[in-house]
Formats: sequence, C-alpha cells, structure tokens
Amino acid sequence: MPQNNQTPIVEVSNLDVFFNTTQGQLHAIRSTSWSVSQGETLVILGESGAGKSVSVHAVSGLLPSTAKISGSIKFDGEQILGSDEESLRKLRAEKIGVIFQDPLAALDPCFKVGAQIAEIFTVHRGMSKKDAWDEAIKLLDSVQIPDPERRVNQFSHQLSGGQRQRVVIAMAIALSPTLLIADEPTTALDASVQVAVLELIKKLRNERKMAIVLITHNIGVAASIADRIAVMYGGRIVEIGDAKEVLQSPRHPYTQALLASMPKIGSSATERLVTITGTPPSLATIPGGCSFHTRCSRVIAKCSEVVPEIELNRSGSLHSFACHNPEGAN
Amino acid sequence: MTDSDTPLVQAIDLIKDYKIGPRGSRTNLRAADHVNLSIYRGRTLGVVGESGSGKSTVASILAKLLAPTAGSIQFDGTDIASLSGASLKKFRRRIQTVFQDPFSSLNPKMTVLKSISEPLVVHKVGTKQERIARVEELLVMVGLEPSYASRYPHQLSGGQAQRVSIARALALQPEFIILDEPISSLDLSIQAQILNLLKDLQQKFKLTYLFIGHDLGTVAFISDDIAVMESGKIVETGSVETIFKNPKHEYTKKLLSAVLDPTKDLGRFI
Amino acid sequence: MQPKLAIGNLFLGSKIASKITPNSKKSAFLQAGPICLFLLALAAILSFTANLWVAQDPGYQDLISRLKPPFTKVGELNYYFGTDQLGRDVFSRLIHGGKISFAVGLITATLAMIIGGALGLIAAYFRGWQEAVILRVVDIQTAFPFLIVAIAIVSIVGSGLTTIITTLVIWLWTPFARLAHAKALIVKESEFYKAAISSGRSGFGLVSQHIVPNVVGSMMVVWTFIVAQTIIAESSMSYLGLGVPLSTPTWGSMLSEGRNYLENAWWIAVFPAFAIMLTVFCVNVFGDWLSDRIDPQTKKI
Repeated sequence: MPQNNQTPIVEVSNLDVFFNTTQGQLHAIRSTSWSVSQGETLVILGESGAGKSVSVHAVSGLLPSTAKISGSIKFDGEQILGSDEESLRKLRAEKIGVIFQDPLAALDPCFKVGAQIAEIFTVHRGMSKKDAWDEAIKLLDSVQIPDPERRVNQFSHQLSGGQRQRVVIAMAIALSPTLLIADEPTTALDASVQVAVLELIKKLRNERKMAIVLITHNIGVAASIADRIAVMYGGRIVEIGDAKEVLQSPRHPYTQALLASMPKIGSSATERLVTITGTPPSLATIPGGCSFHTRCSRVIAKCSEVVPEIELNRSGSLHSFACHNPEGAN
Repeated sequence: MTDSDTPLVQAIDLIKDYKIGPRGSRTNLRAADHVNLSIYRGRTLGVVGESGSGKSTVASILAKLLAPTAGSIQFDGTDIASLSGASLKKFRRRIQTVFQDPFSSLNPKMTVLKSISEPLVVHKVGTKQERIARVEELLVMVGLEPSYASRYPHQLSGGQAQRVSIARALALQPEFIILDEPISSLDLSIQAQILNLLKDLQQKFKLTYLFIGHDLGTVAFISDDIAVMESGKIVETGSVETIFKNPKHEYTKKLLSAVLDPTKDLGRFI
Repeated sequence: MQPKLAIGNLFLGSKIASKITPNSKKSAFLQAGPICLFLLALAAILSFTANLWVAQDPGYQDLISRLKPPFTKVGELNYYFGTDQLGRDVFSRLIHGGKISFAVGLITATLAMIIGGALGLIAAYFRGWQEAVILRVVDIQTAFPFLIVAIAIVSIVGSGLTTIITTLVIWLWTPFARLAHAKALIVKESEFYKAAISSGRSGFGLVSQHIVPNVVGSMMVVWTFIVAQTIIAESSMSYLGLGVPLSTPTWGSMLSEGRNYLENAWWIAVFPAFAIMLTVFCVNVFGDWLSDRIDPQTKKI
C-alpha cells in the first residue's frame, strides 16, 4: 500500500506530447497529470488509441525521436524533462524497469536467457561474468521460475509464454529500480498464466517497495492490481482516483459506459450490453473540445468547444474527473 | 429453446494428429483428442480453453477447413466429414465462419462489396444487380451504412471490418455459424457492440452458433451451453449456469478462478 | 543504447507509428516516382523511334572526323556528343543503343516474371513435390555465379539478342519464384483465404481471386528492379563481348570501346555511362515509389 506522506516517485504535471510527422505536428497527449508513490500501483486504463503508452513512456524515455515533450516530469522530486542525455540515460537504466506485452520481442533468440540477464549486471554493475551469472540464477528464482540453474542456460524459445514474461520481469527488476512500468504485461498470456504473473508483480512490489505504473485495457486486471486508476481517452486523462471509487462510483460518462459494456459473470443470456456508439479515435483524429463529446450521451454545446479541466491530483484519494455535464451534483 | 431433440451439429469422436519434429524422430501431437460436441438448433455452444487447448482445431475441422484424422461430423443428419467437391459445396451454404482477426479476414485487394458478395458469386445466386441489393441489405443488417460497400478494408476500423465479415457470413442465409474468437482483437467498447449484434442476429434469423473464446466472461454472455477444453480434450460440458455455479473438473475451476471480476477481485493483487 | 531499452524503443516506435500516420494527400503525379516513370517512358519512346528523328546514321563512319569532342559541327552535320574512334556520331549511337537496353530490359524482366511467378505459385499452391523441386532448383541456381553461366551459354550457343535474353531470363526468374511462393503462402495462411474456402471457392477461383491480386503488386516492384539489373547485365555482357554483335550499338559496347580513349576522348564512354546510370536510377526511384504504394508497411515515416 502507498505511504501517503512522502514525495511521489514520479510526478507528471501538464504533460503534452507532440509528434513530428510527415503531415505536420500531431498533438497526441494533452495536458495529463498523474503521480505514483513508492509501493503504489497506478493503472492507466483505456482502449487502444487512448495514448496510455505514449504518456507513460514519456517518462521511460522510450518515445521515438520525433516526439516532443513539454510540461513537467519529476522523478524522486527532481525535474528530469530537459536534463542532459547522459544523466537521463543513467536514470532510466538504473531507476526504471520496463516490461512490454510481447516477451518474445524483448528477448533475443540468439542468446541464452542467462546471458541476457547477466549482461545487465556486467554492463551496469561491472560484475565479473561468473558473479553476473550467479545473480541471474538468483533473479530467476525470485521470479518463481522453477529449476533456475537449468533454465538459465536455455534460449527463449525453450520457455513457455508465462516463463518468458517472468524472465522479462527479472530483467526489468535486476537493478532494483524504484519505478516499474508494465505495458500490457499480461495481454498476450492465457488467463491462468495472467493470474500467476499478476501475483508475481504483487510479490515483487511488496518485497522491493517499487512504484508501479501498469498500462492495460482490461478492466479486470485494473481492478485486481490497482491502488489508483487513471482512465484515459483521446490523449487525455478523463478520470483518476482510488481504484474502488473509480470502479464503483465512476463519474465520467466514458468510464461509466466502459464499465457497463463489460459482460458480467452471471448476467442472463437475454440481456444486451450497454454500448457506446461509434469508435474510439486514434491519436491523429481526436475531436476538439472534450475528446469524448462525439460519443457521449450527455453531450451539451459547451463540450465541443471547451476542454473540461481535471483537478491536479497529488498522491492521495482525491477522485477527480473532467466533464462539463456529469450526472448528479458534483 | 430447442427446436428438436436431435442436435443440428454433432462432432463425434474427432481426432486430429500432427506429426512434428525433425525427420527420424517424429512424435505425434494430438491436437484434438476424442472430441464430442452437440450443438442444438437456435442455441449457442461456447468452447473455452487456453492456448494449445485445441479449440481452434475443432473449429477448423467443423468448418471443413481441416480434415480430421478420425471421427465424423453430423450436420442435420448427414455425415459431412468425408464430403468433398460438389456435395461439400452444397453444405458450405449452410455453414459459415467468422474469424478472429478482422483485417486478415478481408482480402485487402477487394472492396467490401466484392468480399460480401463472394459467397453469392461462388454459388451463382442472383444477378449482379440483385447481389448489390443483397449486399446493401446485409450491411444495414450489421449496422453499417450501405455506402461502405465501396470501401477497402484499410479504410475500415476493426469493429467495422468484423461487421463486414459477419455480413459475408450471413450472405447465403446459413443455419450454422462458427465464430472463432470473433471479438478477441477488438477494443472493449466495440466488443460489446459486436456481442449485441450477434445476439440480435441469432434471434432474428434463428441461427445456431459455435462460439470459440478464451475469456469465460464473454463466452458465458453469449452462450447457452459451454464446453471446456484442455490439451485437445473436452474436460467438461454443461449449461452456462451449471458450469459457473457447479464446476466439476479441476481445470474448469482453475479457469473460473482466473476470471478477474472488477467487483469480486478488487484489490486481489494488492 | 542499453540492452533492455533498445528493444523497447523499436517496439514502442512501431506501436505508435501505426496509430499516427494518416494517408498522404500529396498529388499523386508530382511525386518522384511517376516523374521518373514518365522520363523512362519518354526515353524508351525516343529510342525506339530513333530512325524517325535522329539525323545521323549510327553506323556511318567518317574517319576524317574521328574523336571529335561534343558540340562539334562538321559542315552540315551536328555532332552533339562528339564522334568515336571510327568517326561515328556518339549521340546517334547513344539513342539507337537505348533500343537494345530498353528492349532487353523490358522483355527479359517480363518473361522472367511470368515464368518465375508461375513456378512460384505452383510451388505454393500444391506444396508437396512441386514445391520441393522448384525451391531446390531456385536454391541451386542462386548459388551459381551468373557470369560463369552466361559465358558458358554464350560459348556454346554463340552471341546474339535471343541468347542474351534467354541467358538473363534463366538467371533472373528465381527472385520472382521466391517472392511469388512466399507471398502466396502468406495468402494461404490468411483468414480471408479460409473464408473464401468456407464460402465454397476452390482451385482456380482461389488462385485468381485471392492469391494473384495479393502477389502481383510486389512482383511489379521486383520487376522494376530486375529491369534495372538487366540493363546493367546487358551492358556488362556487351562490355565483355558476350552480347550482341559489335555493329549494333549498345551502351555496354560503347563503354567497352570507349575505355581505351578515356584520356583523350572521354565522351565516347562517359555518355553511355551516364545513360546507364540515369536509367537505372530512374527505374529504382520508380520501383521505390511503387513499393511504398503497394506495401505501405515498409514505408519510411
């Protein structure tokens, strides 16, 4: 659980991300603000094209060179946006771990699994090859891969999908980062493997007191692992707050509709799901004003012209959302 | 809601073996192991399983895209497992398929009109004008503007492409549709739209569905009965209610516990 | 870049790129590709109609006017690009020579595409022994250095236009076969192919409606690059004396003859060299443009 009265590990304020494309500049992420503290899991929830990955990877430094970032990103209290390349590189290598959706893409098929983990130690900690391999074995054990002494000598194709993802997690936490970014870590995995991997992330977070930012489009995953949830749509955060509040008392029309469109276990076969008409926009085609207004059942004139503001949220239980015309009183 | 007591489709003891491995040390991989399924007219049978369970293999066999190593398929009283050529072509009118990847399901070089009317062309149904009219009718049925007929797949969103695939499947007024993970590649809000559409179409046209999926929640929503598969075998079958309230097999229980419900599993991994 | 971040960058880059690149709206005709195509077509037409408009006879030897530099005027005759060692008009020989280059290029590439494409499709459609045999032949042939094969054939059959074309087709059908085979297999794996089978399509309908349209685009791109390769190959063969008889001017033979005069009469070799370079360059630019249109995924952002 998060410790409330400390500086957040990551504090993002009014972050905008622009892309230089062949068609001119694309304003992809608009004025997003979020933070995550030590030991806390923030889930960024949204459908494809919402900008979840782009906004989070502005912190990890993995955006393409065509991206321009403005706003404020503070890591451990220090402003990192605008710092020099070298210190940024060092920060990102040592303090931030990243896991992606497809473990096959993250692992080099030509090298043994152990070699890839060991390389992290030889490069960043100057360890000898033997020590690095020993650390690799210990790491595989901590991510609950059975028989690590044998596995460390295997290649990625010899492991199952779940095991590969564990190896990727091992590589991400090898240098004991303070922040772990997990970008759809279980989407490509079977349901039972997903449960095991989420359990592992929970275990590691509690052991190592990391801050975790997890990106997903799966409401169930968000509910099960989040302390706080930020719902994104059309390049903006539309609602953010404690997981329980956002899921059980959603205030933004998009969040409400999204939660209602999920088939619930036990619903009868004759029910129809509540749907949102239309399709989610891509980052290139975000509507003006409130990005959701073209599909919103509560749209009013103001929505197409003025972007609704969201309260800046510090680490805490403030539940905020951005809507001109929400249900009921604020 | 059964029409009769005999199932419309029956898979009887289906077996599919693959020989894998390098020459000299080939082993046998049994992708479908004595699979028995019964699907009743007007109802939906959901087949759930994780990767490697063999559910797609079974779907391909029933769609006559893959020949089984052994076993038979009864469709409306006829054994179609051994059919080929012209007699098979007759049955293809009554059995259609919808696949998972909305973009791989449409020929990128064909317009929506050409894709949807292909079954009509192959079976020589109607004149050119009549086919165009039918395609427009089908587009409206699946919730798209008739003007979409002139679009190419790359001009469609995932949900729209999947609707086109469904329209194509309906062209010949089939009785039985096999849906192999039809919504797995779509966004959550679009999944809901397509699920609703499938339900509406089923009621309207008295369709029979075989719905393959890996997410118990969605499969349960659209199915009347469920079959659970593991490693090529059916480990449990039953109505949706029975499976959820009273699962018997260990694997079914494991799958159920892996379903993450936003209310019941809130904070499960904190 | 650090090992664990490098892969992430690539992965994320493509994830983002696929979401943010809208279609190009620049006028289709003002782009480099179509312009090059136009220039090539113009050059080809000019070459093939050379008899109608080029003043000088390419074979006429005016020994008094040997090795004259470009823009020389002798009496009424204009030697725009100068004369060669036998007093023949370089400009005229250049234009007439283009006939051979373009003809060989177009005919060879087209024949190679038809033969290679057909064999590749057969291999992919039937698989089985057809695939094994055809792919094996492709592998073996690719391993053979072309020039040795060319020399062998020419020494047996004798030089001439048909020999060149035949030799080049035998060399160049393989990339078409490989590509057609690979692309056809991809089509066979795709769900629309399975949907077509499900609809009742079989045999010829599957190939003509689904496989060919999805293969032909890439084949055309390869065709343009093979045209370029053929022009260079023909020039090389002529240069080595393996091509058409020396009386017919070709760019390659002009290069060959001109190499002895590079110091005092550079124009004999340099103009045909430029012609080859420009033609190949235009073909490649056009091929690149075509490739972007056919397969947008390989486009550079």
